[in-house]
Formats: sequence, C-alpha cells, structure tokens
Amino acid sequence: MSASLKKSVMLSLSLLVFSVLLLAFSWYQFTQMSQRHNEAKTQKQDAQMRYFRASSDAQLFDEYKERFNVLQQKNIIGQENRLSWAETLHDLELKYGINRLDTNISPKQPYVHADSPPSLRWYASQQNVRMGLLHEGDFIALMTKWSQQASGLMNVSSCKLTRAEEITMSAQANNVLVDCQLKWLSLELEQREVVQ
Amino acid sequence: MIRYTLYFDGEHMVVMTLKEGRVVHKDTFVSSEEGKQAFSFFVMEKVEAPVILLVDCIAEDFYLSTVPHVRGNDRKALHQRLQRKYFGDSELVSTRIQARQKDERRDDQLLISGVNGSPLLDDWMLVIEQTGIPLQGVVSLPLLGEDALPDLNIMDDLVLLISPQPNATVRHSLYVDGQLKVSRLSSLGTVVEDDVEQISHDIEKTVLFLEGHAGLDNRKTKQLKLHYLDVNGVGETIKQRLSKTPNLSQLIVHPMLMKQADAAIYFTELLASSGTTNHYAQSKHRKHYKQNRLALGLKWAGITMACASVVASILLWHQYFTYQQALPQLAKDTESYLQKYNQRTGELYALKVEASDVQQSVDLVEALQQEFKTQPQDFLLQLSQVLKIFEYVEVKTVDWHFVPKQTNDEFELEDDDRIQRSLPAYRAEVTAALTQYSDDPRQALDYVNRLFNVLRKQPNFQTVTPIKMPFDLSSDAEFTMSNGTEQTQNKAVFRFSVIGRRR
Repeated sequence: MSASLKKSVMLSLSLLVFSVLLLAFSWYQFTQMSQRHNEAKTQKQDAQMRYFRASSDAQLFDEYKERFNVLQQKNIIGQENRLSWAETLHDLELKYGINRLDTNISPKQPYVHADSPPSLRWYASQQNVRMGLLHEGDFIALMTKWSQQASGLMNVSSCKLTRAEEITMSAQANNVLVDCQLKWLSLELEQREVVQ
Repeated sequence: MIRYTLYFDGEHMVVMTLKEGRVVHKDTFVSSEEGKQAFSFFVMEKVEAPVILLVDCIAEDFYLSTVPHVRGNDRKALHQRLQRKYFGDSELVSTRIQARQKDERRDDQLLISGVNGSPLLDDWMLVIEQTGIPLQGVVSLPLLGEDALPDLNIMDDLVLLISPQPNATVRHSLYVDGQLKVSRLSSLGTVVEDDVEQISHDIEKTVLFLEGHAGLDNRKTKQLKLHYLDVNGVGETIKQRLSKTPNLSQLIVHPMLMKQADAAIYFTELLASSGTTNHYAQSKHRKHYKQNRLALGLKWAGITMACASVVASILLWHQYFTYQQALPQLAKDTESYLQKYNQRTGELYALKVEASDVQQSVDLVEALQQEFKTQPQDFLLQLSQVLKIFEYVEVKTVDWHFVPKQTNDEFELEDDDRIQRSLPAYRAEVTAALTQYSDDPRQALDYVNRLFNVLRKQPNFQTVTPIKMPFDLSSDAEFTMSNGTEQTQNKAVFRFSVIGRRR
C-alpha cells in the first residue's frame, strides 16, 4: 500500500469517525429538544383547547345567567319552597275571604321530562285544594293572583267548580265549591367536578 | 477542465496542456539532466490528475505472428514467450489478437508491438515514476492511428497513412481493415535536400518494402490507398510528384487545420477524444495509478461525508435552537391560556354546573312556563263573556282539565310539530240549565244551539261539542214533558264540552 493510499485511508477513517460522532451527538441533542418542544406544544394546545371550550361555555353561561338566577330565586331550579306556597295560599285566603279551605301536598316525586337530558333531575309535588267561595269571580281573581305570586313552577292539572243548589247572599256562604289539583315542578342540576 | 498529456517523440518529452479536449499549450523538455529536472518541477507543481504518455519513437517495432488458438494461462504464456522473443526484457510490450484464420486450424493472428532499446524513454519512465504522478497508461501512436482512420473518414480496406512527425521524421503505418499491421518512422534530410522529394522517395521506399516484406503483390498494391496527413502544406506537391509513379498515383491528402499544424497535436487531441488510455503501461504503473485513484476516491469520499455530516449537524442544531427559542413562548402561552381559563370559568366553578345544563334548564323551564299559562280562570272568563248575552243559561258545574304536551305516562310523543300545535290545551265539561223555555223544546233547543254557535266562534275554543241537549228528540230516546212543575224545569239541563286551543 502506497504512502498516499495509507494517508487517504487514515484520513477517510478519521473523517468517518468524526462524522458519526458529530451526527450521533447532534441527533441525540435534537431528539431531546424535539421531545421537550413537542411536550410544551401539546401542553399549550391542551390549555388553548380548554380555554376555548371554557370561553364558549362561559359565553353561553353569560347569555343564560340572568334568567337562570331568576329561576333559582323562584325556587324552580333548586329546592322547592313549600313554606312559600303555604304562606301565599294563606295570604290569598285572607284577601278573598275563603270560608273553607282544605289542602294537602304529597311528597316530592321524581318526574320524567321527555326532552330533558339526564343531567337535569325533575321533581313534582302534587297539591289538592278544596275551597268554598262566595262567587266564581273570586275564583278567577284568586287563581290569577296565585299564579302570579307562586314561588315555583305551578301547573293547574284540573279544577272542578260546582255551583251550590242554593245561592246564599252571605259573606260566609260557600256558593261555589272548588276542587283543584296542582302540580309544582322543580329541577336540580347535576353537580359536576370542573377540571382546573 | 485542464488536463495534461505527455508526448514522447523519441528525443523530447512534451507536456501537452488540454482544455476541453483541445491542446492549448505545450512545454517541451529536452532529454538532458536539466530538462528532466525542469520536467520534474513542472509536473510536481502543476500535474495532479493521472496522465497518459503518448509514445512516438523509432525504437517501437511491430511483428505479425500466427499462433495456435489457445486460452487462459496457455495464451498468456504463449504471448509472453513471443514478447520476450521480439523485445527481450522490455516492459513496454503488447500483444493483440487481431483476427483468427478462417480456414485450416483457425489460428490466432497476432500483432506484437513494443519499444525496445530506447534508453531515453527508459530514463523518462524513471523520471515519471520518481515524480509520483499517476501514469494512467502508455499509448502507442501507430496503434492510436487505428482511431485516426474513422476520424479522417478513411473507409478503405488497405491504407498507408503517412504523417510527418516532430524531429524531421515521417511515420508510415499500414492498416488492413482498420487494424495496424506495420509502422515505421523514417528521418528526413539525409539523402535528398528537398523535403518533398525526400518524403516522396520515402513513400516509394515504403511501398517497395511492403511489396517485399509484407506480402503485398501487384494486385494488392493497386488496392493500397495512400493517405497523407498534411501538417506541413506540401501534400499537393507530393501528390503531383508521385502521380508519375505507377501504383502511387492515388495519394489522398488530408489537410490539417492551422492550429493542428503538428501531427503530435493532432494525435494528442485524438487521444483525448478516442477514449484510448493504455497500450503498454506496465503493471507497476497501473497499480500506482489505481492506488492513486483509490486514495483520491477515499479522500473525496471522506471529505464529502464529513461535509455532509457537518451540514446535517448544522441543520439539526439550527432546528434545536429554533425549538429551544420557542420553549419560553410556548410556556408563556400555556400559562396565559390557563390564567384566562381560570378567569373565564370562575363563576361556573362556583356553581359546579355545565353551561349546557344551564342553557337547557332555562329553555325547558321557560317552555313549561309558557305551557302552564293555560289555566281554568281564562276559560271561565271567556265563558262568562259569552253567557252575558245568554241570560237564561245558568252554569251548574265546570270540570276543567289541563292537557299537557306530554305527561309522565299517557302522553304520546309526536315528532311532527304541526300535530303538536293541534294538540288541545285543555278540555272542559260544562253542565248548565235553562231558566226559560223549559217547557218549550223548540225554543230551548234553538236557544242552546245559538249558544253553541257563539261558543264555536270564540277564538280560543277549538271545538264545542254538545253532550246532552235540554230535550232529547232522537227516535230511540224516551221523550217526556210536563207543564208547570219544578221537575219540568230540571229537565232543561244540558251539557257540552269545550276543547281549548293551544296558544
């Protein structure tokens, strides 16, 4: 082997080793940094996605917040307020001079609303009311007032008005007998753990 | 690209500098110690790429021989024996199988050529070896002449190519079917003073020699075509001179371009374009050349590899720093999004509810509120408005029922919105009695029918259906009537149902 060939072989071998080492070191450093960069990028994308989703949710919430709060205050969303119902009825009793009033409210039962998602839990309480009124005009006024003042979602299921055979012109007369069934609906929202 | 070719004319070593296949410069070195030293300096300074040595000297001889056709080592041994026979220990030898006999034993027809007894060339070979320049090959100028024939468009079978060479010599080469058979180099200026006369005389001598030694008979001599490579501009004169000589009257002159006014230049350029690289180079020169090529290849491969890896590394590191620079910004963006996320969702966190649940709950409750606005007092109000004009009607009972869009157990879901709208809001059954016409069925029925007609025109009443009329006049019913008694009045009771329209 000539000297020039030996020299070339040594040179090329040295360059080969140099190239391999240089590339290996560079590649190792690059892959480490690439991994870190990808992780950071993924974290940013996650945060960005969560923010956008939350932003969209918050926008939706802002749109409905006021009406939602009103419904909460009216005890339609949240726990029903039976005391309020009793107080309202008592006020009406005094105002319209109801001579006879019998009422009962059955225990709260789950209620199925066909259009509602499972995360909304509906409840219904049945109320029966029997009243003796002087005149059917009192019934109209009383029911109108009651529906306005009701703290809850009131649904009059049925009402039967029966006129007494004998009409008595007395403040204590029960000329009209009223027998009504009402339903009070309320709903509760499922509590969810929000990921921070 | 500049390349170099060495040309040995028997006395001088000429270094031809070629650019794009054309000789652009030539440096001539005399065969003295000074010349060799100058040559050594020149090639060591300028020549790096392998070179070819083109030999054109008088010491080169050609022999034709017919030998049995053998193969392999036998052939090699046979050729070596013939080379030793003609050229002794000379290393610049070559044996070419030009053809095989077409009959008899089908022996091989060989051309054995070589350079023997040229101390000057031997010295130059030693100098070349000492300079270390890789010798790609040693090419014989007469053998290269085979490539000159197609280059000069010479298609003849039997050709004598005459070319004036440097050092006042003329080369005569005989080609049969394009293959060299014999070649000789003669000097001018010894017998006759005039070059034309000398060259003409030399040609005559060559033809005579060929007739005598190469077996050219009279018939073949007539077929022999003489081609003169006119580098000195005397071709036409020689042609005129030879026109008087029998069999030599057909001299064809090939005028050379001005810049090729030297056969050495012509053959050097021919060598560059022909692709011929070696006729005589010895194994040690070839080995040196191959090692040189290998070393060069390794060197360039190593450098290329190193450069490529450096470039690749630069790209990788560039990307590395790009990623590194992007990291703080990514972290900042992430933190910013998290902060904004926390700010935006604070209220929802407190409620622990989903926005979609809030939306759906509000929508559903408001829809129910709208639906539940249907209440009995509205019906009673509307009924009482109508009864103001029917003063003889006395309502006994009102049985009012809300009809929900859906119920827990009995409502049938309808997808068709049109059908949904036609669903009733409530149904009510009213029992009433007439305070007049209780003894007049015609009047009573007419009065009640008018009442029904008015009720049916009420916008919120979808349908009004009689259930019981004050008097039943159908054929299959029992009809009774009496006058002036309380019982008769009671019989004027009628009933009807109203189905309320959904708002």
